[in-house]
Amino acid sequence: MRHRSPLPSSVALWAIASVLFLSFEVMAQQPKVLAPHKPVPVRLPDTKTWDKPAVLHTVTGGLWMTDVNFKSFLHVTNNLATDPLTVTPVLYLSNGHRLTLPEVKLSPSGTAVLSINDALQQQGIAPWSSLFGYVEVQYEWPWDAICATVRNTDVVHSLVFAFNLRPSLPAEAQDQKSMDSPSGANIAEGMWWKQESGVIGFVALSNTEAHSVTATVEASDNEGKVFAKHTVKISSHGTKMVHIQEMQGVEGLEGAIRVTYGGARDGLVINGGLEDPATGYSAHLPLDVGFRPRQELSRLSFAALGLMVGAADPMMRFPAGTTFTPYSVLRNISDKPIAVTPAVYWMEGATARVAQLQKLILTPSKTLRLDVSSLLATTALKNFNGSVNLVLDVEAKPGNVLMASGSVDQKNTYVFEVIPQATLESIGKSLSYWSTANGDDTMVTLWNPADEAQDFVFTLLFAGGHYGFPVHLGPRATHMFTLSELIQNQIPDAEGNMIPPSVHEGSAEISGARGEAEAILVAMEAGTYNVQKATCNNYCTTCQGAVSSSVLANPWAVPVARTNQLQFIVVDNHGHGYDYAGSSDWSSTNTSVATVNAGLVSGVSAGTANMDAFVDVADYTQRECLVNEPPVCPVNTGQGGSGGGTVQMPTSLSVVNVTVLPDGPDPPDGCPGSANYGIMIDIKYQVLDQHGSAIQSAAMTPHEKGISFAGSGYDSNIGPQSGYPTSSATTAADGTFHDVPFGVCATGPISAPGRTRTQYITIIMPDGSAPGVRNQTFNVLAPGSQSFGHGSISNSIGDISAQR
Amino acid sequence: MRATLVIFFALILCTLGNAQAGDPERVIRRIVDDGFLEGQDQKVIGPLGDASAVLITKILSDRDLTSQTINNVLVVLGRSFADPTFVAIASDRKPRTALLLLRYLDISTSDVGLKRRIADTRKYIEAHQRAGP
Repeated sequence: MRHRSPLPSSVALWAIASVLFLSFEVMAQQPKVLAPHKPVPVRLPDTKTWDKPAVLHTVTGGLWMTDVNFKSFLHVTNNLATDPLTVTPVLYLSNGHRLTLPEVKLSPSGTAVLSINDALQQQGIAPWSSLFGYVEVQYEWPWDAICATVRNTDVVHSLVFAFNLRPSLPAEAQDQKSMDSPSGANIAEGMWWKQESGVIGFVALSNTEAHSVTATVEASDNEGKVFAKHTVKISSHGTKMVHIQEMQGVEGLEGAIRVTYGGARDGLVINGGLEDPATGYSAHLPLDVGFRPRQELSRLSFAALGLMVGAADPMMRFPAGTTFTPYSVLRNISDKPIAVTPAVYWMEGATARVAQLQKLILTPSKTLRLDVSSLLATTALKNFNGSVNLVLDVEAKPGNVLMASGSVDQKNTYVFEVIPQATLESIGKSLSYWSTANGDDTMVTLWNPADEAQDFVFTLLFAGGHYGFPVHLGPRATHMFTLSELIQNQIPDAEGNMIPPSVHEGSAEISGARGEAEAILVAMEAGTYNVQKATCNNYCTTCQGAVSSSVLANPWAVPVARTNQLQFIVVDNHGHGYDYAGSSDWSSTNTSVATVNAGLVSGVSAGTANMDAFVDVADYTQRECLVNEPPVCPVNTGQGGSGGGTVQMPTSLSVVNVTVLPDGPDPPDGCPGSANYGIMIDIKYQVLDQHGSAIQSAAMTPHEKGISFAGSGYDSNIGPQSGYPTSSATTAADGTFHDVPFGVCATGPISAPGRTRTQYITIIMPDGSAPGVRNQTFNVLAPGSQSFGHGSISNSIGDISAQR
Repeated sequence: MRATLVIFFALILCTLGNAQAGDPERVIRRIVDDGFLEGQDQKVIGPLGDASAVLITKILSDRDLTSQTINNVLVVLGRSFADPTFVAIASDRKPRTALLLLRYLDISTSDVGLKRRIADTRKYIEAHQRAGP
């Protein structure tokens, strides 16, 4: 590994930068940033029933490379906490040849690492062959449920490249994908920079389409002069590698890369890197493919966490004398100037400190390297050894600035890339993979962007268990820790869990202390490094979020003057359901029929209405993993649902059943032996609404009036009746009630035309209204002495008829 | 014994001298006189409890007791104590007058079947009274 002296042009860069920036410390002049403080929804029992069917998902695109030195690994993480998942990896060779690998079974929250070299060998292909291509992983589930990354490591040259696979396209993008564009219509903007003069770039173009695609890769300097142009034709499912060797002859230290291609925008997967095998330098080449999330935002802060400055931390066991220099590279890919205000945060003991730097303007199309070390020297951080967070306040919509950052040692061998990420409110965030195996360790950096303290739980997920690590972060505070520390400490968590020493890999998540669905404001960076191999990997970090939402019950029903509590169920990407009814915005499409507050529907008048719910919770998608550069997460927010229903007014009764009461002297019997002509029955009614649907409410009071069998008037509630347990004052919860005892018992025959009774039934509602539901006349007969012990009853409507 | 009961009921009737003949009395009189019972009657009789026995003594005061009359009285008494929780006046939940009335009915008849029916009614009333509040 050669040591290269600093380039003369970096002096000029610093001269420019020193004009642009004035550093000063500000602790109180920034606008106050608050933690979310939102209600935490109620977690529902896991039902494992989803309102969407399982469909075939395909994650695509991770560039794999093998040769004598390069080892390639596919990391797959099951994001479902509730279910196992079976996935099928597919390798595409550069010539488009397809190799389907054996299925992989992932436990809930489980991870799997497949050696692509080994997989090739099992297919009869020499694992040391110089091959490359891309990967697909297929599985069936209702939503995006896995995160996959290809890690390419050349230990001999200390090169490492990790490429995340692109998740399934949303439906609208699929529609767009089907519309092919003419050649050159799609543009992917990128940027390059040279950490030292030996760095060159490469761009890998993988065609996922069924037809060939032509693409042109152009590299230009910062004056817009194109110094390299390569046009390639990529066969179906093939991959072409374009090495931009011309970069070595370019005087400038940074510039642009542009890829133009035909076909569907998502048809080509573009991955790139910067490398110098001679020094062991390798970095990810940022490329924008036009994905534009959160366009409602006009200003965003991006945080690059844990940039190492100065002498390496002895705890990380780097070779003696290793020092690190942070870097940050920006490119404005819009057509307008963009203002960027940097700030540096660091910890001084337990207190967060900040140095607010002066605003700079990014010129359209230009790439700018910030000399972070020089900037730090203008603050209180001169001669600082440790780590800082570089926060860039960008006055532009997401997607207009490409960013790269990290730390490099003085030999350019240890490259700790840090992916700047937008600081946005979210719920939990996931880390797809961590490792402490074979000399690896994973460094996690958490930063609280809020001006007030927040409490979090960092949860390690591994085969057979989980471990929660509580983290309290003061205002703007940073906490860094390695996962090997957590494992070695062997301290039980709040649930008494410990991490078995045999555990060396898994996934992880950060969430609020009050649960996974708590809204939080946190930035997380995690890098898995290996000091011996001089490698560092960044795996996929995604925001958790909702995958579906619905209003329960749909349809709903509520009687006039009564209430019905609806649930607004949001299912997150883990498969957990939450009821957001109490924390959502609700509205009624017809407030004269029903009003709604926190999901509680109040019936006003008979009719139908929709109850609409909306909650500003993260929408889950993993597209920020790859196609969103730099990551803006969550890419969307807002879950909605609607439930239509009826406000019910009692309109009629249906007869559920009629039971003849048994003979006997006392209640709950019917006719006594001393009055043994006639019949007594128990009539069970169901209250129906204006549509003939059952009104399921216990708050209705059946009332009757008319002329009795004995010929006297009556006007009273139908129940309750002493001695008859089925009788009640109000309806049962299902809206049924019993009219019992009903009928006549006499000491002698009841001859034709019999005894009659008129009955007009109304239902008294809680608001005092009493709609009529039935008007009928009953007739009881028990003619002749042969009717002793017998009788019959029927009504004028014809739905009641019984004999004893 | 019989003379003692007659005196007792005479005293009760004195206390009811000014009682108005409301629906309960009309319903009970119809059942006692005609043996005609309809389901609607339970709403009137059920809440009476021991007050029904008082009303019955008033109705029976001027007539001879036939077997049918006694049977009809038993129907009223049983229905009056079907569920003491329905009896609005707490003092009427205890069948003091009703039990005396049953004893009176018992000694008023020699019909074995009717005596058994009277005994059954007494058991029914006592059982429901014990189950009540």
